[in-house]
Amino acid sequence: MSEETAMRSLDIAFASPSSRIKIEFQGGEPLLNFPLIRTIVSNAKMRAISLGKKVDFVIASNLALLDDAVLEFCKLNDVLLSTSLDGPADLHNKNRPRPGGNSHQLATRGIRRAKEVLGPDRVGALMTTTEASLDRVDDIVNEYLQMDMDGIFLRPLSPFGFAVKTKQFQKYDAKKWLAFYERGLRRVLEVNRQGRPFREFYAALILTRMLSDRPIGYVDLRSPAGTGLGALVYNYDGNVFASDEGRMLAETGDNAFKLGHVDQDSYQSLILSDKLIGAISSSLTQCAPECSTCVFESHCGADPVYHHATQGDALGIKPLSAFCARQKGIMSLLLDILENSPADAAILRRWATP
Amino acid sequence: MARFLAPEAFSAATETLSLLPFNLERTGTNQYLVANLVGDFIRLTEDELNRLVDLQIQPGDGLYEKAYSAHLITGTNQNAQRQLLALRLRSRMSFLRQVTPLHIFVVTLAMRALVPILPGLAPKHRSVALRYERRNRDALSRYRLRESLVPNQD
Repeated sequence: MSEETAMRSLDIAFASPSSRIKIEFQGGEPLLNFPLIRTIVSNAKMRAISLGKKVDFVIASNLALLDDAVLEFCKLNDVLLSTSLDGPADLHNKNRPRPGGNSHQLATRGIRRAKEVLGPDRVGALMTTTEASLDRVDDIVNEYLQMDMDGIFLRPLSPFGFAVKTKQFQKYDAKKWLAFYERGLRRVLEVNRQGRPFREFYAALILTRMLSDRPIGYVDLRSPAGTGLGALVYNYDGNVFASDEGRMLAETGDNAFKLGHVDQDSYQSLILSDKLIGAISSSLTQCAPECSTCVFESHCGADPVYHHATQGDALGIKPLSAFCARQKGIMSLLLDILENSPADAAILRRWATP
Repeated sequence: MARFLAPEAFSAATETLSLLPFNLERTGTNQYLVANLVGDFIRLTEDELNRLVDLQIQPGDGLYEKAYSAHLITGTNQNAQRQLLALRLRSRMSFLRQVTPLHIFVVTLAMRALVPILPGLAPKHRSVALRYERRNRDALSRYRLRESLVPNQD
């Protein structure tokens, strides 16, 4: 990304009506372009002051290049770090091959150092679930406990790294993932019962929707969808996308979620583009077949990018959607625990509070 | 001495009831999960659900109280229930007031610290690294093939 592209992107970002914005640096590996990150942060801070807005920063990095200069910069500018931790070393290294096979060692070393220098709550980790993770959820949770994290986000099966499978096999994906999720959640609850506060973050998000009226803008859990309305992605070359997945789709030649370019477009023209309005208005759960009459509708969300990617249609046919199967499965599980397991229900209720 | 009137004195003489919006799903023989407009859940039997839909309920029969407290019914001329639901819905949807709070800057496409070390890598490792990059790029086209026409597992 050139400095000109970065400055044009900031023009657009600060034109959004939000009084508080978050700027997240991604890649590739964003720390490979650390000088540009410095420039963007200092420029964004000046703009924020003159516009009376608040701005937060996150760097999503594998932490392999984390050094004292980066840490000092993060500390000085209140920059959060977000990294990947897929589980124990063998699993993490398998998912993230690297010459030397030490990506796990680099990630855990980075997390420890960042916690030390920036504070325990200034670095977060996300896991990518692959097929190899499905039988390992206890090990994965234990890895997060060992790293002294305050919770884990048990994420859906990653579409990456998957070979095309036979249809017969695909059928079991949502079911297998739900079994993985339930086992993981029950392990997390057990940890809590033993006296250590530790959250499963996706359950916490859904529980906040189920047990409170606080607004949750999490992109997968909202309708109107979060694409564009929740986030914009400025690619290295100046193209603007409605979501990160939309950017990845474009890498395979599908420009359905490419909204424009920073050189030609303004915030208004991107947000009011026919493409974005079309995707959002055609995927509203409030009036979609299956969704509008679904008992879980209030707590669910539209995911036009996922359904476009898997079904070629922003709305999608929900009985055929693994997203739908996952959401219903998780909410049914949470309801079952809330109603039938008092000790665990008390823990879940705590997660729904800020 | 002043006394409170009997409870009947406080209810409307002839209160016609209306249903408020709700969704439902059958969860077992004779059991339904019901969610009101803002997603509060309640479990009803088939008989209860039928009586509710037909508004064959009255104060004191248990179901009337259950349905009222779950915001499934209201007095036709009563505004409080609707106002309360509207207020809660407005709060739940207020994330819409913060338009585009997140801005993702893809500052480079270079991946995983491979690039700075690529020149120093043995040719064997370099090809592994590049193959990995390529695999990531190809992944989404495969992703699109997955899940086509796969029914939910209910």
